[in-house]
Amino acid sequence: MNVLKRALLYVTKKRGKSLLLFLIIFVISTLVLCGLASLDAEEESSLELRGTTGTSFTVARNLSSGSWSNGASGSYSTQEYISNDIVEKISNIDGIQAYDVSSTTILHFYDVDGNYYECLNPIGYANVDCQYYTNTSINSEYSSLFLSQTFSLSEGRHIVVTDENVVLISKEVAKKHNFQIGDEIYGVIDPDSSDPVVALKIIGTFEVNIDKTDEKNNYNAASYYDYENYAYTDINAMETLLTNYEGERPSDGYSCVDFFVSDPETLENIIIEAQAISSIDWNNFTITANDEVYERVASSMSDMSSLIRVLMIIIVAISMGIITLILSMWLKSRIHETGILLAAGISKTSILLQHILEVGFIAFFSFPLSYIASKAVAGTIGGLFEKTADKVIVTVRHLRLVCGIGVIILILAIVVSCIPTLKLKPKEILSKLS
Amino acid sequence: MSVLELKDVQYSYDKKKKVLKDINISMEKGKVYAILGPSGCGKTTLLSLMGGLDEPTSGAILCKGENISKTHLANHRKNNVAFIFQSYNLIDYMNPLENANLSSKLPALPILEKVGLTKEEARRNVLKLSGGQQQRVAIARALASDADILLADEPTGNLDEDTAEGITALLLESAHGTAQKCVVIVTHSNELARKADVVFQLKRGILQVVN
Amino acid sequence: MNLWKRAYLHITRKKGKSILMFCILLIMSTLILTCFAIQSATDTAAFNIRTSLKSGFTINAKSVDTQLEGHIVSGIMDTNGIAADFNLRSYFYAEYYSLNGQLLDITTDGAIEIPEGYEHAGKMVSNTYSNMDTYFLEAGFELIEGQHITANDRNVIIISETFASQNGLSIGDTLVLGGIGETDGHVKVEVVGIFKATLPLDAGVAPSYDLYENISFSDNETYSQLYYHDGDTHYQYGDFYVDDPAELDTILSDVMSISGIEWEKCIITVNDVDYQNAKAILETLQNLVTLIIFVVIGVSTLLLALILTLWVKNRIYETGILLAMGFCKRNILIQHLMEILMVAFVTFVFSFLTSSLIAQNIGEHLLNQAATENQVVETNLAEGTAEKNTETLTSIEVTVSFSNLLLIYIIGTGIVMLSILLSSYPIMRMKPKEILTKMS
Repeated sequence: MNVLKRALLYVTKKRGKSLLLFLIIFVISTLVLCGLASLDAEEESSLELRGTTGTSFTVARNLSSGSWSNGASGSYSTQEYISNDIVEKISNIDGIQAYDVSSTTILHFYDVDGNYYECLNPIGYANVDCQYYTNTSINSEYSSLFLSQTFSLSEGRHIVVTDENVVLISKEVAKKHNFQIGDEIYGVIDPDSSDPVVALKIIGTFEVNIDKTDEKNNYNAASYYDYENYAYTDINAMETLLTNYEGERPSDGYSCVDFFVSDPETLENIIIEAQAISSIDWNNFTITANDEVYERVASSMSDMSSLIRVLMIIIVAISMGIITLILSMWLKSRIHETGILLAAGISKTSILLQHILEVGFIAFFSFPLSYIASKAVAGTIGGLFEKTADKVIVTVRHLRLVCGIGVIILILAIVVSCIPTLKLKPKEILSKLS
Repeated sequence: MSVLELKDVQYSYDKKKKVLKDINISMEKGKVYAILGPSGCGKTTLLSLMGGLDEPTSGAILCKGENISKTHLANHRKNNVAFIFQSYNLIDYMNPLENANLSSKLPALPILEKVGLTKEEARRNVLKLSGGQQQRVAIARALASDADILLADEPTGNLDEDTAEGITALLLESAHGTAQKCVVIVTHSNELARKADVVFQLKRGILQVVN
Repeated sequence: MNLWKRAYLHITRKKGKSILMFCILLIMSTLILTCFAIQSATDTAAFNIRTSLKSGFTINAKSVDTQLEGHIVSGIMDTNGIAADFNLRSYFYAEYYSLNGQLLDITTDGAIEIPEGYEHAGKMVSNTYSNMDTYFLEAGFELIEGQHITANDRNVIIISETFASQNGLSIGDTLVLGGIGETDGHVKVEVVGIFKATLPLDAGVAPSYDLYENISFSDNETYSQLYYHDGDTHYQYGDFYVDDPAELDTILSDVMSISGIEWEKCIITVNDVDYQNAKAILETLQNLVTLIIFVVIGVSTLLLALILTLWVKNRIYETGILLAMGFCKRNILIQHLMEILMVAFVTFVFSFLTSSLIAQNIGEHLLNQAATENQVVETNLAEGTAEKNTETLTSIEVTVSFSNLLLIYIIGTGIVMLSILLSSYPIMRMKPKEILTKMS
């Protein structure tokens, strides 16, 4: 009778014992799979957590290293502006999630017949009452007022890099003039000049969340405009609108640009990479890291991550230990049978192989089932806590890991447990048997 | 005085074939009863009924005049009967003394010595005892339980001729000696049956007195 | 022989099995205790993260006659959960005089207009801590000489570089502020700092008093003396922070139950954007640990039950003997239960040691253990002081507490009982009538 047949016979005839071993391997594998899936979930979640700190860096004109010139309204810096080309080069660096510029202009909005749209809280002077404090935006979602939750999107969507001739206005202004998403309004810089008029499509509205009366926000010219009279438009629209204003158009460059990173841990490296771009003359620009929030939480976040990781690793390691213990128990109970086989002349290797095959047959069914069970467990228990179920996902990769390492451990455990029995000298067998 | 009585006892598995039909016997203290019969004829079932391990399909089993099912079978097993099995009589993690003391009724050591074990053997690991010694311990435990009825199922089945003789002698002594137990032995050995006071033959469910 | 003696004999005579059971139980309970230790450490880390996300609220009391008063602020700072940081501020206008009563010069270039009555006046901001003002944080103001105003300063002023050179003022000089409007208060202030505006203000939009050159910073006492000469300190706005953003709502309602101020006239704004952004994912991370604890306990129970099932089959004969002797099944079951529990109770004590060892190693070698500074900050608020311990972060301790040990006894006993119940099915299923056949 060959080793394969003996192994098969054991597994099929000793159904009780085989079932028990099957269940034990099944239960432990389920635990290990849950542990592995949790390890992945932790890594992903920790990355996401770091990302919520909104870490960014700002590239700005270095006014102190530039020269100054005199003009109509006083002296101004002649320092190089940040061109679209520079922005693109930097934004292509791995790890940069988004970027936005900050520059503002006063725009006037009209309807198709040339009547101006009155802003909120008008003061009675027509040429002031149609003024809207407009931000030029590449990704409006990342503009500072939206990030600080001063504004939040109430309808529609944000401006993105591909948009052309779109506008975001406040909910109040939209209500006042019965604007709907998709409507078109006309914007112009100076209505009394030959400035081009651009048709802008309303793609979204925002609402103002803060205490508008709090004077801490009145530190610059923007405070003369009610937040409800703010607007956002894309750089393509602004390019057209500012045709006659050389030096102020998007194509002329920006004073500062904010770049947002997905993982604050990589901020330093990304900045180094940006500074390594040879085509940018970094003497003319400054880079400031905006990671104040991340700095405050970095060590706690890293501790949290380490704690969870080590827990999962301990669980996986101990599971491996337990299965080894149980296997040796299972094999010890078969000393009698081993003695009979040895006495019958079956070689030690053959007996070892038989045990390995037996466990192999059982594991062959345990592992896939534990995959299904662990998915169910992660789903049900994870579902008890909101959103955790979405994160803890047992994948085939985990199963492959468990199968691969599991098989190695099982074989090792069997070999180690069999050593004392297999070391028996033939003459000791009879006495051990009776 | 009848210590164990079976009245119109019938037994069948699944209401089909009747394994035991109209069993009516009365057993007394101080006597040895042997039950003979081919394998699988129901001898073991009969013993189970007598010992309160099972209940008859119809009829009654009385111990000292009382119906044992009325006072609960466990009570009957605890107080009135003691079993001696063919094998696996002893609990492996207790020595002979502790095994005999399981019922905690009578002091076990003197009884162990009486059945032929030395003080040293009484404390030895039971797995290291010979087959005969193990059966002696089983008998000692039965005697220490102070039960009036001893039920033995093939007690010498696994023993060689000489050892079997010694065990048989012990069982006879328990009945005929000072203890005056009612000893019921299920056996297929005619040798043992010859030494009994009453021999029953169980054939096709019917119990017949042979001698 | 009662079940206790039988259980004791089983444990002491079957040493190999007992030791094996001890090891298995030790591993399981150590694992569970380690889970608990890590869970509480994780909770501390999460708390630290929440605290570091600096959430708080702003009280705008401008519409209240008395605005925020010192004793109200003390009450707020005393409320459970309020953090040590705070800033009280007010915005007003003042006329600038020299010590001998002469009106000082302000900048007018670039102003859209010079409002009547404000020809020698400028906008003023009072802060508990001037370095927390938005002009310095957002508008590009930089202190180039002297020091920022802090909580204990009284009657001080920070002026612009231009204003200083226009009027020949330097650090240490004194000038006089005059209230504008219905008030006629005059307050002497000492120059403690000079700032420079590094970002330009758009020309032609601001009235003269809003020009950066004409803006000054002072302390809250000065403001109160100018506009309320009643000896009390008054504040228009108060920015407060909480230790735990998750408790913000509760803390806020506690604060608003402080009597002595008309809360209906105040505007309260909550600032917890950073916390709100992180909240969900932070909870997810904490839930990961809870999830794995559930799985570990469940798996331990099942595993123990399976191992016991493996062993119980060997005790069928013993069970047969005892049943035949009249012991009932419950008695036998309790014996098995006691065999494990007696070992378990010893194991749990050891597991406390093993898990503490593991916990300590994790704590020492794995964590950053950010420095925890402990300062007591005393701030004079005219009416009493606000005293707060500023612990920058709670140190994360990975330890097994005594309550955890109690918990493991309870959970462990539960696991053992459940496992015995599950694995004893063969025993419970055993019919006495089958015994004789089994025994041959």
